Amino acid sequence: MMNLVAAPVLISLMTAVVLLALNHRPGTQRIVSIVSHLLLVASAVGLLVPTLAGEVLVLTLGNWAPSVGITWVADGLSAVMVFFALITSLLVLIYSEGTFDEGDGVRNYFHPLHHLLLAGVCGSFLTGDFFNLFVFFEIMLLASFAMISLGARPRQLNLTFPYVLVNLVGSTLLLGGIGAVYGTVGTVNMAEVSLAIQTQELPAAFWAGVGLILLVFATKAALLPLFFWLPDAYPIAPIAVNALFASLLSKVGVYTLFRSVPLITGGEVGVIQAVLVVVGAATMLIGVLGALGRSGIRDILSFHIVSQVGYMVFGLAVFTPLAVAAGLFYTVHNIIVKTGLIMAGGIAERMGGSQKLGVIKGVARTHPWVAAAFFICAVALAGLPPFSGFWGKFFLAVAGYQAGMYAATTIAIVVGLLTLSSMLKIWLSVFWGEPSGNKEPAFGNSKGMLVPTLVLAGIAVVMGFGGGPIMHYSMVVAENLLAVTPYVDGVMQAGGISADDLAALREGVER
Amino acid sequence: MRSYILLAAARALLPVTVLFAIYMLLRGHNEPGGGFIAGLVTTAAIIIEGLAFGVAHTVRRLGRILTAFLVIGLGLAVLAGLIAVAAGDPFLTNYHWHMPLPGDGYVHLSTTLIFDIGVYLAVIASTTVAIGVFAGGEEETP
Repeated sequence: MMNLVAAPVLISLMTAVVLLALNHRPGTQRIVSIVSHLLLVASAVGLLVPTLAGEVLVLTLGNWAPSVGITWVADGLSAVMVFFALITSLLVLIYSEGTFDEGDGVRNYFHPLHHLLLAGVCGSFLTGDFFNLFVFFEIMLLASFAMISLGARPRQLNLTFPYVLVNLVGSTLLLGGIGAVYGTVGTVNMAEVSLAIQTQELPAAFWAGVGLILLVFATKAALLPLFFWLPDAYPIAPIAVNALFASLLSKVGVYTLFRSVPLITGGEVGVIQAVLVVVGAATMLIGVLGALGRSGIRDILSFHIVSQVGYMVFGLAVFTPLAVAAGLFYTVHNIIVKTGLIMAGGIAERMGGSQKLGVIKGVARTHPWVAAAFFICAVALAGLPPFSGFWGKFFLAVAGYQAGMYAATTIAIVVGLLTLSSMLKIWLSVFWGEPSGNKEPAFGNSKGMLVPTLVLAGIAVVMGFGGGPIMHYSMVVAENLLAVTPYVDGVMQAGGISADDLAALREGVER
Repeated sequence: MRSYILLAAARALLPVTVLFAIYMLLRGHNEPGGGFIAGLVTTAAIIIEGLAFGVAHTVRRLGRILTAFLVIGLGLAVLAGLIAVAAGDPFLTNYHWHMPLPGDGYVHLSTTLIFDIGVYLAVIASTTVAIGVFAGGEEETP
């Protein structure tokens, strides 16, 4: 059933349309939205099971060969990303109900936009060519532009405008880069481009195009120095949108780097990785320092996304199987934990009426469950055992020292301590001490908001204790990713090119 | 300002333009044309109608139909893809056959045509609604 590869995108696209038509019946809209989201998760499980066994699922849309048609590819990396993105966004969807005020017209648009965003995100994870990656980026951005300005307060529009601008310019550059690649190798299919890099001598224009594409990916991932659009835009958006963006959007940027760097380098260490090590380490440090200087719950948490992206990219940049596996583990852990933190912080914000530190105090006394969820996620984020973040950081540090990158790895460890102090900053002012400033304590008991948050904290605990098996699967995915050939051969063979022809093509180069 | 020349021209142009759009839609399988361009041509006819009779008036009269067009159009496009899934082929695989007519003629039918009709309807709906919003379709323009 190769059509399963397209299922996450098709289901979410169709759901978005149906939900838009149900705009005047909020009750039905919610039910349809959640039921179809469950279907999405089921399709993601369907993709996860075969791909974790090492299979590469390829769907040639309309039965056209990859060189002329559109290919969809699910390998371990895409399936893992789709699965965790869908699990987290389902929890955000359930949680979102409590974050909008009664009778707020905005909430009726949240559900259709949520599914449109998912179509873009899943499409970016599952597409097999650069041009469709661009298309799905656009779908994702279209939905995100509308979501980030939901409510349309003047201050919100001011602060989110750079987000729109940066992404529009980014899309244009990406299209230019893809054009250069197509003009020089005659294909936009990622596997074919990778094969061309291995087997042909390519002109400078091609590498300029690749450079542009990678630059845009780095911007989407919010790497230094191209992260400035993120820290102001995210916290001003509604809480549910903030949580959704934190779990999905910059991770799409990270995914595209994980996907394209091994394909472009053919699995060998070169300039790109060296640049990424420096950029990754600098991003970690600047991100955490920036977060320390902020003074709102979601302000701190959102700036922190930048720092975390540094870790994921550092894992990719070290480029050994262990490091890439650790980077992948870290990405998945971060999707869960960061969303959990923003959701727990969001409940406190709803109770106090503002996200500024110092408005609401002593939540741990009045609402211990909210505090527990925040505490677990915060400690996991800082990388303390026995929670999920520990394994990510531990294996990253081991892999970094093994590869002889002492300075960068030491920065990663120091940043872990700084992370802890910025989490303490929120913890001490919001959750600790004598309760005060709690205007709407009912929000802290709302099951709709509390249960999804606790589930995320629970996953962080499970990932902490189940670190071994999860790391085992991460290694499988990472080894396939760095070997490059499983992906390329999977796609090429789906296009009717036999294994012998491929071998002959590669051998011709070696001779 | 109400221009009677424009009013009369709009009346006459609408059916001709829509007919031309349908011609574009049908020839799109083998020659330049297709659902997207046909949808735009139809929208052009609706815009002329809107200029003559007032955008608010036109969009209000078309409102319900446009929503239906959007849903039916996207539904048809997906259905065309799902036919292939039901037959066990990759999504959106095209099937086509010749339906003989009395005499020597035949009609070339394909599942791509269903997809194209879906695109046609969806394009009409989305472009018209967007233009209605930009033209201030909420307010009454004399």
